[in-house]
Amino acid sequence: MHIVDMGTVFGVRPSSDLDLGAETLLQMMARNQVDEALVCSLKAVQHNFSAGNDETVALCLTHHNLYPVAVVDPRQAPDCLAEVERCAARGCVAFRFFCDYQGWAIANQSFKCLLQAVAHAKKPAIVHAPASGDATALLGIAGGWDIPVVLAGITYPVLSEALAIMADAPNFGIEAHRVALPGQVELMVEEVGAERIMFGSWAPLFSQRPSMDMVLGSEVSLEAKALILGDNARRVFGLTKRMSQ
Amino acid sequence: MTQKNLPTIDVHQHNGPWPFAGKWGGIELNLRLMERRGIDVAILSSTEGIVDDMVAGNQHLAEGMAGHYNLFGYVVVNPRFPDLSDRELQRHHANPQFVGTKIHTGYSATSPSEPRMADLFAMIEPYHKPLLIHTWGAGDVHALAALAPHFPQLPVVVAHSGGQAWREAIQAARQVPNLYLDFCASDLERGRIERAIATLGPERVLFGTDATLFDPLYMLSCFREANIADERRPLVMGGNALRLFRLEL
Repeated sequence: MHIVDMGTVFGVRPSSDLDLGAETLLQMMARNQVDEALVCSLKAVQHNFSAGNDETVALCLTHHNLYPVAVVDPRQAPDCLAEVERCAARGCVAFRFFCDYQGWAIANQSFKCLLQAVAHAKKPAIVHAPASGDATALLGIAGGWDIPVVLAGITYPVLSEALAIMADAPNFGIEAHRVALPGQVELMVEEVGAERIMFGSWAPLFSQRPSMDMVLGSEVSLEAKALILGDNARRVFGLTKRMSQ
Repeated sequence: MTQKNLPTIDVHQHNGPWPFAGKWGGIELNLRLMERRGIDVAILSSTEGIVDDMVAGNQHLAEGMAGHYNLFGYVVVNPRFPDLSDRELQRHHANPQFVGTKIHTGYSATSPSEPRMADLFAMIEPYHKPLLIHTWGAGDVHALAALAPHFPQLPVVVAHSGGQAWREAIQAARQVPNLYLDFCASDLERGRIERAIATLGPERVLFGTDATLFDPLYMLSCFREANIADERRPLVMGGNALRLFRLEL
């Protein structure tokens, strides 16, 4: 099975004394037999998206099992509109939006403009939607668009909302992170199929194995496990081309 | 029983459905998950008792776990209902299958800093059975660290170890010898278990999963990923609980 972690980070966190460097991430991937990962810079999330995205691209150029994910920050719009085009041109495979870490709402008009720019660049968007109503607001913006929109930061209190939205919007997927409920993998597969669920750990900030093991230890088919743990990410984020290089 | 053969004991399970999307069940779900994930013994509190009706929940748990040698219970009490809690303690602690007491600070909307919580601790201590208390955030942890030293004969298991305030929980346990740490949560910031063992030694770190809200595999996996020395792992996974709860298996 080829495992892809669609949600990893590197850098530092002011609130954490853990080593969150790229080397730690790479060691965790090797130890946990994760073959590839999508990665974004914490600097891009927390401080300077442009400098952070530059270091993400640089890291991925030296590590061929890492793929760059760009971060833009609606709080800094419209300055970051051009960043979407710049990062798309530099090979970033997706754009990730952190309303929770950055403190803005999905209803924010600047976010909508940025998301439209991502759609114009024909790149997938990964959007954190941790609070009740976030994913529904996102559906109102991006439902029916021709880019994949992946819901991230979904935990058990908002799981039913996420699944209802995915049933309505075929372009919506979900990052399988903090998959902790008994039968959660089975429930998600029953409700929306296995093709739009993708494993993401947020390593090295978070442990990498729990959500992965929950997929491996679930009662869905081997084919569904392979889709969730890697094949979907390769398809949705276009990783196949790089794999063949 | 040698240390190598110590059972895996989950000190933080619940029984009964939760008000979230999921595949819930009764005692049979606890047993099925334990068998499937390799957990030998579990100590449960009633979900119903926590989120709704304390008396009915404790009774249903007593009925559900009767006859199951590998299941033990916490009596759920609530600082907002001191008289009722007193009756529940008397009633259920006469049953040796109840080996501890459970307080949920969130659902009872009571911080450990409130006087009614101290009154309830005073009620619980004479039973000589450990208390499992929900903690979430630095406020709960600091308040508990201030309260627990007044009840030195009461072992207090810090459920969730404050969540993201796990560093504060480790520091609190370092200062307060009757605090024990349980780390179950879905947001598993890396490094908590290793840091706790390095700071406190392995004797005050317990294995808990929050099943059946969570599948035990989630925390088992977290403990497997944690870098714990081989000789310490059996203590953390069950030996400490066996000693602390005086379980007779």
